[in-house]
Amino acid sequence: MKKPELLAPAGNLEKLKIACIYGADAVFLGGQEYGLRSNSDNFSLADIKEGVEFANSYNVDVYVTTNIYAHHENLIGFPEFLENLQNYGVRGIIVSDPAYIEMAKKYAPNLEIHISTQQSITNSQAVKFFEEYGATRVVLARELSFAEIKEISDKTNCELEIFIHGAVCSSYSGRCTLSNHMTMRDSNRGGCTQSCRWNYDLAYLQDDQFKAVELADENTKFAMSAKDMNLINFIPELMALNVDSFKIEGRMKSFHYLATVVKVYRQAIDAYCADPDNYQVDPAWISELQKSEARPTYEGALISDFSAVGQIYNEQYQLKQYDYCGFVKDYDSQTGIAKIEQRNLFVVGDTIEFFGPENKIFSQTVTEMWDEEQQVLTRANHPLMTVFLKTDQPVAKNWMLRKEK
Amino acid sequence: MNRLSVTAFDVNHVQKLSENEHVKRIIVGNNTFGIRQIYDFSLSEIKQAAIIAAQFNKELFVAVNKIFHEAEFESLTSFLQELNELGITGIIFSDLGVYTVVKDQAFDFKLEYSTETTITNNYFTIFANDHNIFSIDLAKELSFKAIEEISVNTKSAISINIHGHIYMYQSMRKLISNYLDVQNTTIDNEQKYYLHDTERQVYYPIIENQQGTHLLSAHDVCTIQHIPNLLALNIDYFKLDGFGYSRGQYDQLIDIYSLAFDTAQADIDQYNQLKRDLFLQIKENNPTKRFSTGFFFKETIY
Repeated sequence: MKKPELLAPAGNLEKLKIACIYGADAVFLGGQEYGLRSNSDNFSLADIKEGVEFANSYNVDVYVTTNIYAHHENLIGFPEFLENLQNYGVRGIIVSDPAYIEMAKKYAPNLEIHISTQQSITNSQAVKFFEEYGATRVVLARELSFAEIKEISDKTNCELEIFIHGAVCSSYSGRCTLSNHMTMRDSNRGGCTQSCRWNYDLAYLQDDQFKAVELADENTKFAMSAKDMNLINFIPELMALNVDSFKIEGRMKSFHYLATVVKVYRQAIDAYCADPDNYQVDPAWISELQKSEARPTYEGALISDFSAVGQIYNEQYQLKQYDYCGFVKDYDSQTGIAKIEQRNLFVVGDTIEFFGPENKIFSQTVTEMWDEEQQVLTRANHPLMTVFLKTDQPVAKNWMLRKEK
Repeated sequence: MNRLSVTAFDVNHVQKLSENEHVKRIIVGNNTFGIRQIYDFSLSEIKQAAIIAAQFNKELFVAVNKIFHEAEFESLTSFLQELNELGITGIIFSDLGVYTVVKDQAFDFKLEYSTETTITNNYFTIFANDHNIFSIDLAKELSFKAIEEISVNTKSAISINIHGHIYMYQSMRKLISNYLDVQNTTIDNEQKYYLHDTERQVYYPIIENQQGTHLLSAHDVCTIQHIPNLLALNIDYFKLDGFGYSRGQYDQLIDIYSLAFDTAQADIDQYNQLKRDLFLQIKENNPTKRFSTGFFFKETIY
């Protein structure tokens, strides 16, 4: 049985580290240019170098997204960028534009070429095209069913990557310019403003006049928004596809999301590989994923369901039940006191939940806490402030704490 | 000037289009292998179209521009096989899987690579040349400046859209049906639907069919007042897209553009005097449509 890589998003250097610590086999990140998600924090060259060193120390591979469709000005400086990536030990680039593919082959031949989902590759013949064009791996389109992916996997030798969790485009990826038209921001160069999630009125034309379609519920507006993907209940089916990489979406998502989703899929994949015959979904995985979600999820295209079940109308869901409150920087097992970096407000009397890379979670009430000068605190209310807190059970560096909203 | 690339409404229309000296390429297609087609040409109609076009020395291209899934390849391959025997000039494709089939089967028709968006820089002309792809259809979100940069040193033939809708969104999902399902009603297939963007106060045509949902720009691109800019470009095909027009409206459009090209080439002053009237004529002929120059004179940010 092939054990696929678990590939996690790294929106910035700190998220990269969390992904590595919480169990990713590989991470993908974007530089300051050439990649989609221009609103993400993204990595400077120095960050990429440091990120690769950190990741490699965890035996984690790094891929860099260079998946825009370039206009003339976006070609400038790309060869030097590639040479830097190659020198830093980046394993590959995720790319869709032939200009960038050609440059990679010429200037950084040691970098693997992974064809981005922006190419919307839906069949084995297109996979074959890119394999012959020099691709090591193809990231398949998010419109495919389990059966279709299996057929492609059976018919091709190229490495295959599929998305297993997170947000999806409701259009064929790369074939949408809504943002260009509505906001003058180029969606295929990282400017996507998610216009598919906005509300619209459905109208029709009659005698050269626009008329609103009569609706049972006027408050539910038209939208193209797709529910996020969540395949935690389908690990055996995913493993049977014999693909090389399972990808989690979300470079712009929170630390809490990243840590939770990586941890849960790590445990699920490991559990399945250890004993496929007796594998069972741990209900804790499902509840953990629910705690990290901000949008509704479903199984999506993989079970060939494109019905209204997969749509979101009136994008006002607030499923997120938990706030990420802090990150454990250190723990003293003698005193049982954890050193915590604050991320969101928590106060004495709050019930907080601790969790770490392993499947262990406990909650406790905050009774006492101190700042760096040992002054007693009642509120941890400054971003990134250091807080000392006695924990009911042992924790460790890199654990997180959260509280219910 | 014979650089017009036009879309046919039926076989008789192919005859009429072939008689127009400005026309260089005629595009036909069907709804099984093409998307956003005006008319569902059968194989025998494509054959007739190819014969007519050849008589007038025009190119006949067939739109095979779907994104294909695994199950469709058997029928796709036999369709391409049959096209190969009909004497067509070429096909327009958007899925590189189609390219692989054509190459593996050694079909001898020409290829145009067209994705609506994504074909955005000069490397695509090298890519086309390296892969024996005859022409590329540039992304519709490019500025005139960007088109000029690509076309100056091109290694392949280039097509651009000079009139018609921009297809800005393509989904496998049936989004009108899904929405109306939530509203406990069903889609009326005879109806022309639009999305009303209340903030921008525009209406985007939205089409649902067996292939999913397509969203079109609120304004049709119209370059009738910029013909000299077009003539200065090293571009081989200027496409007038008839999708969303009646045959009558479309024929008027071709006549107006033909006149504009002729006038601009013969006497630029006369063209400059005439161009506003030509634009107003297009507007008058198409009262429900709104027009703009698309992205030709705008730069997007990102």
